[in-house]
Amino acid sequence: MSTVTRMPRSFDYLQFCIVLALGGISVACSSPDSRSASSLMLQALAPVTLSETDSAFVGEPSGFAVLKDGSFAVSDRRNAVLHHFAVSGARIRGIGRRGEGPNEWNSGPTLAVAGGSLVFVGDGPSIRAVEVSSGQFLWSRRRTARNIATSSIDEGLMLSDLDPTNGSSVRLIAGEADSGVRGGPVPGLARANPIVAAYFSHPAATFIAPDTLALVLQSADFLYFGRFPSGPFDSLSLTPVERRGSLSAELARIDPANPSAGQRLIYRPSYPQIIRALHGGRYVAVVFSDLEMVSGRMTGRLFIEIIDWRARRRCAESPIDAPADPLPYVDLREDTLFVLSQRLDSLGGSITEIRRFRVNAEACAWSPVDSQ
Amino acid sequence: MVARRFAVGILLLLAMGLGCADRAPPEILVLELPLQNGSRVRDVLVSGQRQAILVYSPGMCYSCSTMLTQWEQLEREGHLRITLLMSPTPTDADLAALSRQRIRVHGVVAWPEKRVPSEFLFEGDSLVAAAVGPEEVAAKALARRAAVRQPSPQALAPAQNNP
Repeated sequence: MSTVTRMPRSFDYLQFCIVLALGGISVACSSPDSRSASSLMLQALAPVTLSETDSAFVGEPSGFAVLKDGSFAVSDRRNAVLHHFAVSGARIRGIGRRGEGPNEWNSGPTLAVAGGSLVFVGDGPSIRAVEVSSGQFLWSRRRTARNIATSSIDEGLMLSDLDPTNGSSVRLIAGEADSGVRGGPVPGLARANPIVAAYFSHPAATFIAPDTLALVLQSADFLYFGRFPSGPFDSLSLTPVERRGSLSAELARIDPANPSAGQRLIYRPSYPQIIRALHGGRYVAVVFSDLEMVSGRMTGRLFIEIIDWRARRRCAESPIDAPADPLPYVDLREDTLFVLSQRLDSLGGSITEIRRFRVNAEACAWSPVDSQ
Repeated sequence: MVARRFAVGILLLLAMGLGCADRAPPEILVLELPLQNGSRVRDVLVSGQRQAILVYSPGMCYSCSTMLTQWEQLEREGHLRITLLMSPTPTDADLAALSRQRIRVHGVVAWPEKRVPSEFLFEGDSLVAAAVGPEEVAAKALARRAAVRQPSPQALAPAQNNP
């Protein structure tokens, strides 16, 4: 005989009331008044779906840049091609193919930065300048592991180039043979530890006003800004909220005599993907990626942070609504954030799209920030 | 007692059989691997046609390496056909990544980990070349050798993909 006793019907009614009340609270909590700062700051616009066919498709995005005319350059390392798409998403052409020739990618195109009429693209141990309108490779120059194209000014290219010996973090070059101008600050941790300087200090840098450089690094949760090339440089604290941050305590424990400990940490800190001037340089926008290696491919969640550098206040970082696998790539033009991502449709077909968000800095929940 | 001896004997025979199967040359074993369409690898071998049988890991970085793209290029140019097998079983995230990259998988197979990747090049049902395990695959670069052995006007023309 069962000993389970049936609850009286009044209990069922009580349960119903509790569920109803919880539902009401949940609805109230998701009302527009209590939305997070990110949804207020980032206003989603209609995405652009890129036109692809079985013979011309984006296999695996490895870089992305929005050109001056609003068209898109998409690096695709899987197919070793730089795709050029119109504003509408129609495919204009594929530039280059895998090979050793002058108009060929040796290793496959990677990170891309849009200049005036050029796109600067990583290609293994080289940086290539490509004229997208003609599909021609204009020049190529060797780079070291610490040289990543991070932004451009007209046809000049800003390379990351952290060099504690020289006391500089970036190099502005004018072309193929130009040795460039070194400048920018070197944070203390990178000065003190050569492993940190080698593995964790790829700065994202850009000009936010004439001769004024803004810069963030993987090894320090600060925005640095000042007169290019030699400063003085000021700093504002960007304490992480949701992103992983620089993990500076862990980085400080890396033994310079044991590089493998540094290598193990390499995807742990947040990686600054881009830094751009917003609203004509009144604000600085930084997009960070929390990277994750999954089965040999890079994935990652994105966060955006807005800094009012003159007023010394910040709109602390917020997540960007985009699939994390594969790693989305971003660019920012005027006040629009473009996020290149891929997903599968209900039939399992691949869709490559560019999500667009209007960045509304006026809607930020500002908080004051400290210096270093 | 007799039944027990008989059972032990059967077990020994099975163990020996499995041991022998494991020692069989991989180019023989690969022919018996099942495909998604219910057939076996040996069924795709067609007289007079070159066929590359590839056993790759779903966790491989397909965009970092030219291993698969070189075979794909040869297939596009009409030199051969590819049968791509995956080992171990891909996760859902791996399958999604393979779909996004439009990598067509013909089968998921059980293949010793130390033998992944493996590449076999058949002409009809005759083995032309094989590379088993990461070192051999890297050293032999079968796709490049296959391209050199059978150049065609198509192969010498500019690639047509992603024009």
